[in-house]
Amino acid sequence: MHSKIYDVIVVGAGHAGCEAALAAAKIGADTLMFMIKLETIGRMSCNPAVGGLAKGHLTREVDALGGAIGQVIDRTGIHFRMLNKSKGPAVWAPRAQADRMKYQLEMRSVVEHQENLEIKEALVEELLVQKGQIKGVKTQYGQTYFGKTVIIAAGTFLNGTIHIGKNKYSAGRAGEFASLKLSDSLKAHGFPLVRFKTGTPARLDSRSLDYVKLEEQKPDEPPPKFSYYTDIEPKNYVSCFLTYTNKRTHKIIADNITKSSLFSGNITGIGARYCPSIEDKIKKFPEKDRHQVFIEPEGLNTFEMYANGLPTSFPPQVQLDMIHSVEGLENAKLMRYGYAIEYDSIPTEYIQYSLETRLIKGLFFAGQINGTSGYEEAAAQGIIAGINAVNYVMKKEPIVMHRDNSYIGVLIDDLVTKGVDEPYRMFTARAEYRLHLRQDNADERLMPLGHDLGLIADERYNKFTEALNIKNREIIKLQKTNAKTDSDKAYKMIDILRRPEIAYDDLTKFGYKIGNDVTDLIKDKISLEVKYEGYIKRQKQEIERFNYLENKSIPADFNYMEFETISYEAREKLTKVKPLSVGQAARIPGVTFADVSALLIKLKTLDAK
Amino acid sequence: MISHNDTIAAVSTPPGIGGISIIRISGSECLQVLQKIFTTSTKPEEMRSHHIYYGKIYDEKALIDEVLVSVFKKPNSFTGEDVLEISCHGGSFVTQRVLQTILKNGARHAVKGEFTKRAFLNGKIDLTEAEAVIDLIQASTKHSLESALFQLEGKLHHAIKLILDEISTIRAEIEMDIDFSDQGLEYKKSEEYVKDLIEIKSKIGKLVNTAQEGMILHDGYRVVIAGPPNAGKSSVFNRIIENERAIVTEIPGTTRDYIEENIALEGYLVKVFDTAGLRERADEIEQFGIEKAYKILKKAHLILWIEDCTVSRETSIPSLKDTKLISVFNKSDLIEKNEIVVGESILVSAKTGNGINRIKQEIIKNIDIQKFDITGGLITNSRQLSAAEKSLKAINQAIETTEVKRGLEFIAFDLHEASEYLEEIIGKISSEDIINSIFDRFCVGK
Repeated sequence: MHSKIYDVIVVGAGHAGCEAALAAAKIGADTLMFMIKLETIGRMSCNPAVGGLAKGHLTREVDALGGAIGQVIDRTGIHFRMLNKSKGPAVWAPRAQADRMKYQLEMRSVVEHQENLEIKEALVEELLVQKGQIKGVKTQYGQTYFGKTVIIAAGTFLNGTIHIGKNKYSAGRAGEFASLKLSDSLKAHGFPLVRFKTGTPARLDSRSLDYVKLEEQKPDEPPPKFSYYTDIEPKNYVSCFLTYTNKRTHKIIADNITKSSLFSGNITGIGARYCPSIEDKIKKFPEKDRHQVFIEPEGLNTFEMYANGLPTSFPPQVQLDMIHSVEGLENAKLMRYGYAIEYDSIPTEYIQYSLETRLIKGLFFAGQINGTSGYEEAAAQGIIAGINAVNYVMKKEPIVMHRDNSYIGVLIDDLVTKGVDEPYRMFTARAEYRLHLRQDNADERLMPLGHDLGLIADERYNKFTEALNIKNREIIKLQKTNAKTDSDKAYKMIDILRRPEIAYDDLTKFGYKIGNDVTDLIKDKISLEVKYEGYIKRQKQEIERFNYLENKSIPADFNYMEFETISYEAREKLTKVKPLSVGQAARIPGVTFADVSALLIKLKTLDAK
Repeated sequence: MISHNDTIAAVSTPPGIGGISIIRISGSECLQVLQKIFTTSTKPEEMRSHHIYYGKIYDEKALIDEVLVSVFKKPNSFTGEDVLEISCHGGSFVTQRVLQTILKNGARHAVKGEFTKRAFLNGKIDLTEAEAVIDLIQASTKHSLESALFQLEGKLHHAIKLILDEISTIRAEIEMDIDFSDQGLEYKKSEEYVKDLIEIKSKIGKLVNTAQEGMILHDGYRVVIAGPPNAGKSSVFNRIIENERAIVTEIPGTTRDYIEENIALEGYLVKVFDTAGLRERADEIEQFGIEKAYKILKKAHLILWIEDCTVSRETSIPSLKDTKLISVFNKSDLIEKNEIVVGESILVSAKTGNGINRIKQEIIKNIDIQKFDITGGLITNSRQLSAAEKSLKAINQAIETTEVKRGLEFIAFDLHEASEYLEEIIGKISSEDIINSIFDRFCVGK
């Protein structure tokens, strides 16, 4: 028995758990984090990469709030690129290939060095609940730990089952124990469980690949980073490689399709449409004669290569045949086999914006338990759960992230309002206000909040505000300075910069002196804001319109079931979600425009009373 | 506070002496109300939806009327609730007595627009349809009625739906390109997007172009009577509207403000305006009237320029481009026939009424130039027009953005805006204000 009462107990030390524990401890909460195996803190279960489309935005935002993921990847990345460069700047997305081992060691080092954070190897099996209030957890050794709040961030470990061909076994990740009893405990407390599925591809020995036949993908120089106003300078070390499946690959897959766990009836969990296994892709898109396969290094001290694009649950021999049919991989040696994994998650109607559950006070969920997939999605929820667990302990209002200020807000609002029926991944298309939610302005959007919360140190914050001042000073200077041109008309520098073909440095040709303190980042930001000013303005107007309904709050005790004007379906949905505002109500699937109108009219009559 | 679920009743046919009046009752208590006042061979609880029952209405023991009751059970009724329509013998006295009996036995008198509001709130009709119902109620002429009916069938809704689908397809392609650009898929080139967008632009453009005709049907064709003072404009006006509405005196400049009157010509709604006489030297008050006259002239579909045929022209005819003008010489009774040559002009006498019919024929001829093709959906009010125009603007912006290769997310933004404006017309994302302004226009009984 430990009589100590922690402020925050975090169950799981993956990408959600680490951010949750770090945030709570940084703010000053007495925090305890459990991990089944300490060596696996911050381990990347699947792809050794951070960022990418929309996920890069999430990573930048978690970093701006004071999370660890951005700095850890900047320190341990080995190949950095900015994706979508051919598109507009709002959808540029940084992505980095990590050295898998270094990444987890670095994350472990960060959490171990964190003050107020205690780390313990144990398997949490039971929740201690008293009168609807979380009291602590119990481990496999029968020990109890008391906490005012508990955050569950168990990832795929929650009743995880691995499938390879006909074989299946209980595991949280290949070779690691699953957490079996915690699911039972959650169920006993009234949380229904839903089975989700994800998968991972085989890993190849670099020495067995025919690089002549592979297309090299070089990293971007200078490496685009995730964390600014730090002294970390990321470096590129390696290239990635591209090859394609072919008709022969597809024939092998089609001939063996019944041997895949996915089609043999073994897997019942729901997989994500956007991240299908290779056998899924062949079955659903038979007309496509090739699929991309990225060969990505797993680290600098290993020959292991990740075969991105080939997640599978075929038995080992089929995996081998399939991979050998791909150009450049004819003689590939498989170091690990791919597998599918099923795990429990809980319908998101049981969580609130704070990520606290609706059933048990002080109990928070973050990451895959909420039906999401991806390290970045997990990290985003982790930091918010950590912050709000502390706010709960301090009896403060929770921090609620909104759709108009961050992808994190989009993510949580989607979870709480719309629910998930397949593993949820972030896309830029999910963000209505993506012209505003750019990766370049993540700091401006969120760093003040991170600083207020105590998650961004003064020193770093000062660098940020200093850069912001330089930026604002430059903008005023651009507005005031006349450009030297051949034309009789007088042009301001800012109007020259507005032209699509003019880069910031080109302004010197028009007689502009660029200050020494104007960094590339500042140049990029100003160019972007100036060139796309019209769009940014329109987006802001749209946000204002959006906030009209968003600011129409609904009383917490509003009884929808008695409100018979609207459909029964809508009443049920609204009762479940308990929207905070009419805007949120309007986003609930099954709530129609007519329902929203009726609700508005009803609220108006309530107001009038 | 008005409850949304009690039972309401109102006379739903226009007041006046007609053959039959219909009283509509809506709400869950309909049949209970009926049970108390109606004797027939079938018990109300056994009555079937979409059937008509013959019987007698009694107020306690006094027989009031023999009626037909049509039964519509929820949700298959206009309002989505249980609805009864009682066809009584016309005449306001009998109808009012039947209604009073219904109100005495558990129903509440409907407030303005309440039936349609319930239909809208129960998801039975969308915003365009709700507007069309108001139009139907307000339409006093044949052509407007036809348009309202067509719109009620959702022609406009359908046309907009099709355009929205096309925009959605492009948006989906763009989103795929943005979020799955690392998947090695086949993406469209920007020229291909431009081609699609131009097609959409022409479709929205066509819809915008229907507004002029649609609004003539909806708001009426505006005929403005103008000309120099003392030409007898007000007399001609009174003749056209067949009423002594305008004050007529011998004194030039009597009409200082304008007067407006609705008439029906061949089923068209025509708004006729009488304006102050136009002359250069006028006192301050008269000047005020003249300024107003010019304002009305600018909005005219047709101008009737009235002059006195016995005096020579002093005031020049205002030239308003795109507005048809018909020259009319009044006071033909004061001259001998064929004394002056009037050419294209019409010679009339407001005093005798001679020539007034020719004016009316000319008005109809000018309205008939419009094609009034209402089958593809017509924009009939300024709310719809303004939304369609904004949508068109956003599409134009999208085309420009695509051509200058500004980045896919910007095209996506333009298209998102274009969709939202179109959705505003069919009521998907309408704001509270729009809803309120629409319901304020409802009249009782529908």
